[in-house]
Amino acid sequence: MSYQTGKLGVAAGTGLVFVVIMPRLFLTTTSTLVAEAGQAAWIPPILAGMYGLLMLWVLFYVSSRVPGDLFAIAKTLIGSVGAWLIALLFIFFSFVNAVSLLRQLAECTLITAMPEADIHVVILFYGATVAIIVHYGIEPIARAAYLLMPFIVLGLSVSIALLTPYFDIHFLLPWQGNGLPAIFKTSLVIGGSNFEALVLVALAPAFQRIRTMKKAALFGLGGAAVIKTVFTVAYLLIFDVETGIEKTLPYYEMARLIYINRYVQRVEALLIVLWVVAGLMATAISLYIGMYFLTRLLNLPTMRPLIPAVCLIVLQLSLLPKSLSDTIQFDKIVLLTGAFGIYVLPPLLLAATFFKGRRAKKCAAE
Amino acid sequence: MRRGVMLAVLLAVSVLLGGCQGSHEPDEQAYVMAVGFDKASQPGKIKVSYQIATSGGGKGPGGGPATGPITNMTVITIDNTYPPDSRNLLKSIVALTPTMVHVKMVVVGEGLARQGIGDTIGVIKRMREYRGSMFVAVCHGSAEDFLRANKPIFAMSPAKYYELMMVSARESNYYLSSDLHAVYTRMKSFSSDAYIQLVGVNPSDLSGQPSGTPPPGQRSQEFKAGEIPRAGGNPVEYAGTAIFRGDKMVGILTTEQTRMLSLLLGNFRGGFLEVVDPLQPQQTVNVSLRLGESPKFQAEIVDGQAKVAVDVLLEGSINTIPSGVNYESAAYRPLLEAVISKTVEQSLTDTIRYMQQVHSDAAGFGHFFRGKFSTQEQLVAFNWLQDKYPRADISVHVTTILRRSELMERTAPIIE
Amino acid sequence: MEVNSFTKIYRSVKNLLEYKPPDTPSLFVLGEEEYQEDQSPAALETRSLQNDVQELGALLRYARRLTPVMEKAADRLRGGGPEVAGINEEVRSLQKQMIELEPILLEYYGNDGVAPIRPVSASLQENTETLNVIYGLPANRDIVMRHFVVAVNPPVKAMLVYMDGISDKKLINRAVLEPLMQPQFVQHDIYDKDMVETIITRYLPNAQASPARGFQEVQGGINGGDSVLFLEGAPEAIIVETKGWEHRSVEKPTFEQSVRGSQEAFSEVLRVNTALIRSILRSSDLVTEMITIGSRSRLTCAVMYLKSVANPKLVEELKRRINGISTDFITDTAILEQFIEDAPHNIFPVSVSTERPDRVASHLVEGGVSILLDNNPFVHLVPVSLFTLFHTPEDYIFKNPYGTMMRIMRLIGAMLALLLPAMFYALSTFHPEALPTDLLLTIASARELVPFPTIGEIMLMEVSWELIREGGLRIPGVLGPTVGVVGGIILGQAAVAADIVSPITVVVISVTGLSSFAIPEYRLAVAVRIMRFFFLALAVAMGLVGVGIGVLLISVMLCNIKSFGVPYLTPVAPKTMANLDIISRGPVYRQENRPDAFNPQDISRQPHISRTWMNKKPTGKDDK
Repeated sequence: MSYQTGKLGVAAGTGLVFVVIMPRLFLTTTSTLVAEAGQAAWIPPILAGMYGLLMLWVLFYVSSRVPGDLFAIAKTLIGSVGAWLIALLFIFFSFVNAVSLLRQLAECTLITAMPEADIHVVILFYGATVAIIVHYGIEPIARAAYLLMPFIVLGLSVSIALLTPYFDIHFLLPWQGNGLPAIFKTSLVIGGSNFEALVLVALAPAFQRIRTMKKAALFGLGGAAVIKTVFTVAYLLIFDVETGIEKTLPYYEMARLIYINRYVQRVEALLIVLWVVAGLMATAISLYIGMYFLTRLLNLPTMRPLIPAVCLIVLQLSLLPKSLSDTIQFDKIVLLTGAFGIYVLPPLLLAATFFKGRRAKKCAAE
Repeated sequence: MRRGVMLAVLLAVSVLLGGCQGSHEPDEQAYVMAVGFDKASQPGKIKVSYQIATSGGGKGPGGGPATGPITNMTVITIDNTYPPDSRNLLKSIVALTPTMVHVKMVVVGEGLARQGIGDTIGVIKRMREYRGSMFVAVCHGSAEDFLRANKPIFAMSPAKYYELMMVSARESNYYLSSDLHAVYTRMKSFSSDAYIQLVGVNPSDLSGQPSGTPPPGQRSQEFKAGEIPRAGGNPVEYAGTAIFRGDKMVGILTTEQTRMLSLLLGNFRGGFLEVVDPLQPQQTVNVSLRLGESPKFQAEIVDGQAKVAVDVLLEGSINTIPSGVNYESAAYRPLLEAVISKTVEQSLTDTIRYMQQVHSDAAGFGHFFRGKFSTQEQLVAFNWLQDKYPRADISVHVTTILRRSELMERTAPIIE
Repeated sequence: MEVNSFTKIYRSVKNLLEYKPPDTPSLFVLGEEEYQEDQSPAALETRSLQNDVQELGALLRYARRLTPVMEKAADRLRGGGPEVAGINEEVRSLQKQMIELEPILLEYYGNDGVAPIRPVSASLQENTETLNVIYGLPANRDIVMRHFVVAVNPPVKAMLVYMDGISDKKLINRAVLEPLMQPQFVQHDIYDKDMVETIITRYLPNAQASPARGFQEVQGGINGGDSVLFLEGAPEAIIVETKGWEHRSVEKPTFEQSVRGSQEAFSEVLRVNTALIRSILRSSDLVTEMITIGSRSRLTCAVMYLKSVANPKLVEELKRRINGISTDFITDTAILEQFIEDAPHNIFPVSVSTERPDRVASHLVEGGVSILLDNNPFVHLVPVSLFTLFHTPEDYIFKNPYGTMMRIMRLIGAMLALLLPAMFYALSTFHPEALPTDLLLTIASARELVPFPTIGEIMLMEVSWELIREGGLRIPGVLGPTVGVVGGIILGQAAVAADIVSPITVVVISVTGLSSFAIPEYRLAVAVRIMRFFFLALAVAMGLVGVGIGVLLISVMLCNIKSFGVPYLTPVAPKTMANLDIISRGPVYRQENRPDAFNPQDISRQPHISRTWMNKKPTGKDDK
């Protein structure tokens, strides 16, 4: 199989998971979060992170009992048909995730950086970049994601730190926001954006042992959840709920507010680069996962020839929705699919392990 | 290999054919420095004024590189239009593409402010070029007059002028720097109201009159923008605050009242106060005060009525003692401190009463009641701004501690 | 016909009036030669006839050599007496020559085409014929054949062949000719056993001498500067090491000058270079393996490594790749590297090329391998990571904070050289809001009179800068400062005053150009300069977003490059154990480990407490 994934370590795995679930932070999801949960909008990311980690731990346990990557595990446990269905779920989610991200990225670029540009050119550029990145393979992507991680964290921290003059602690009160049921429901839905964290198990043979994957999941998913929470807290501190529910691009609006003195102001152009890069990496990783499952499903010898075709299809699909609000609605469907995937899949496999796994021995090194 | 080259060429061609993607040469744009909104002659419309920086052109002295003075600006007014439309009309007037990304100040005329700024300020924030860090001002008069009369006495670019003016507000706190983000957020909040600094055009002929009645202990006069008795300098001045209820302007705070507002907001960094000399009532003592710590608020709801107790700590230093009484010593200092505390307390109470009277919670007392509820619904149901705030019982207590007395420790008398 | 005055007049008038075209020589055209061997039957027959001629010639020459000996033998036998013994040696040599005249050997080695692989013949005459064919003598005046007689009784005819210019004549005189031509120095015992071996072991006071059986080795020796000694009657030749040619001495480094550090640089002779490295690393573990590369040039490539530290797989792979090169001529170590690296179309260098021995030594100690090539003063060090390319030996000589500061400055220089023009363009045209208003107004007013768009200005200045840089390489020393001043004035002052470019563009391009020289490794600086245009193109297309995309693509590409098995961005990606030597330079007593990514055999180079003097009390009295 020449789509071999190479070797990934803790750092690469962390970078992979972190970068693939980060971009939604920069897009409209935060506004939606604030609209649904009110002043307590910072709680759902933490909860969603915890759910995600729990589900991942379940899946790691399954992976320690059954060898191979996710497709092979599914085949062993649920049989071919089940494995096919799971692979199709992954392919579907990865591709629609990539479509949605690409469209939102392009639209947001048009809104913020280049209002007079043509969306076709922007999408073409982004699609070409994503195609080139996927062409290199998962190992350089994971390493570059690890390289990118500190810059994302730094950019976010610096922009939040520079905004402290605007903080007003009272904006976080009343602390329950729109009520506890709303918080809980939102956290479940938001969990869908953590679905891509299952890339760790999907590429399980690339990691040396389960402990590597566990560390990567902890730092990647946990770190991302922490960052999302901090960001949402800062967002609420700056914009009250009423203003907060209005924004299309929460991070861009925050970056636009930075004003320290005559010299440090209007720096959002430099921070646009951050979320464009993070979004493109996430799209590339998403596409890679989808194509990986596609090749495993159809037993193809290699992945590289698929890349131009898939990228073209994804580009065309991403131009389908009529407007940005249609895209945001579509994104909600994507998140629901992800939520379904992450909450249903691991328990299913766990049940199958207990059912069938009494005969299977522990195989992967701890 | 050849496919790669072909792909690269296709990509390059598509990009080149797609146009410039919105890039403009720096000398192809007209940079608007300030925007003014006024009531138009027709109802329902706006009169928009643009202050554009017109530097450039011509060679510098001695045949050096071509730079024009960057202090040149010009004002163009368009009547009976809407803010976005006026931008297109502006294009019909100026040769270069106007761009708002460098706007430093948005000025609203008083007439329009009293009518309601929700249509103008409230909506332009959607546009990409207007940003939350722009400064906002209400002009005691018309915004167009403000923009036209603005002639800085220092040779600086208009951008530098506005920004430095705003940043140095904390020097005296006679006006507060308010930016679009703060105004917008407070306008839409359930627990506070917007305040915008007041600017005005002064006839510059020493004809200004003070306004308002200062409390008994205070000798500093209170002014509104445009009414300071002075001559010379830039005709525009910044003094006072306009307070809002929702999106309508309902009141004006004078300079001292602005100081009280900044005290309540917790960003009173310093300012001079002239108080009556306790032992020589015909003379005054000048002190410079600042907040020792953020004011403490205690909010309670008693029988459906809101009660707030404010505790303010002021620190100060004595600037002048014309009477020569040794207020620096421990014996006489408490007297001075007591006078200052009482004066400031009275001034604070008057300001708060005034704000309650006009139903404007510019100081944001409502924030301290947010913690009393657990969900947003309860907060909304509390109806602070319309109902509870005008009836709220707000009491103030001020403590002053004079820490320093500048360079003199005692005053020797002047021998007659 | 009679020549009279009438004919003369007629001829002179004719000469005057007739137009004769000027007498130009015909043009020389390098047409295509038919290099195919003519396969027609007539040609084949000619060739086979020629082969027969060669064989017959060999036989004839043998016969001519045999005849006088036989006559002498007949004389002696008739006369009788003890001198029969003198002919013994000649007969023996003739016997040896006869072995070579087997028909099958003649058939095989007989013709000119296989002269280079012939074995050394026992007859000097045959050897001379072979050498004539191989070297194109007597047209080729570089080869000198010195015939002499070894001073022994009975004398042995000998021939010394060397190449003029690359052999050390003093050494030849002293170590070969003198001992062998001195009377009574060589004893009779050379006839007892193997003549060649006796001469080598006893009578050649030279540091290196070895026998050669075939003309391949003989050629290698002569072409390399050694002298080859042919003896009459010995089917082996002796290759005597007499290399010595004019070369540059060890001088100061030209590109890697240091303020405080050793001031030696490699020179063009391989042996001098290996000697310089050995003088720093006096270890028995230091191994030098020699590989000959190039089918026509036969240059020697040396691979040096520390046997106890370097990863053996790395050495093996390196040798495998170098051995697997099949080409005719490699001049430079960099060309060699392009033959053996994983992705030669990638512009980033995967090795450090240095001319300082101390740098080579420190790399070897860390577990790396160095590649040296004959006639090349640059040595390549592999494997390498991107951060190593920013190190200089001076980082260690100066103390910790300065070393770290200098490395950070270099990294900043690299970033500036890469991104400054693109960022300037993107910010001033796509995102004017990011610039301070005053700066923007100044730029706008400065650009008022400039007739070119911003990208035109930038490209103009870039091209001028590159022209000046490229031209500066070739300016004769006398004109250098003048041209430099003129260029500076043109670029700096006149262009601005003529409103062709704006002053800010000049500043931007100058800073960019200068900061690319802050990168210690020249090939990396070249790569950065090329990438600069790529980023500029992206900035023109998409502004800052384009620059971001470019940075992303370059990062992914860098993560993909492997330098001989070591990923390029170690230890950042993949994350390996980092010693305190990547960007900031840790204290010298804390550099305990070798780089993890090299996977050396012994990871620790210093114990944890390397300043053991701190554990003990100082000499002298304690402070009371």
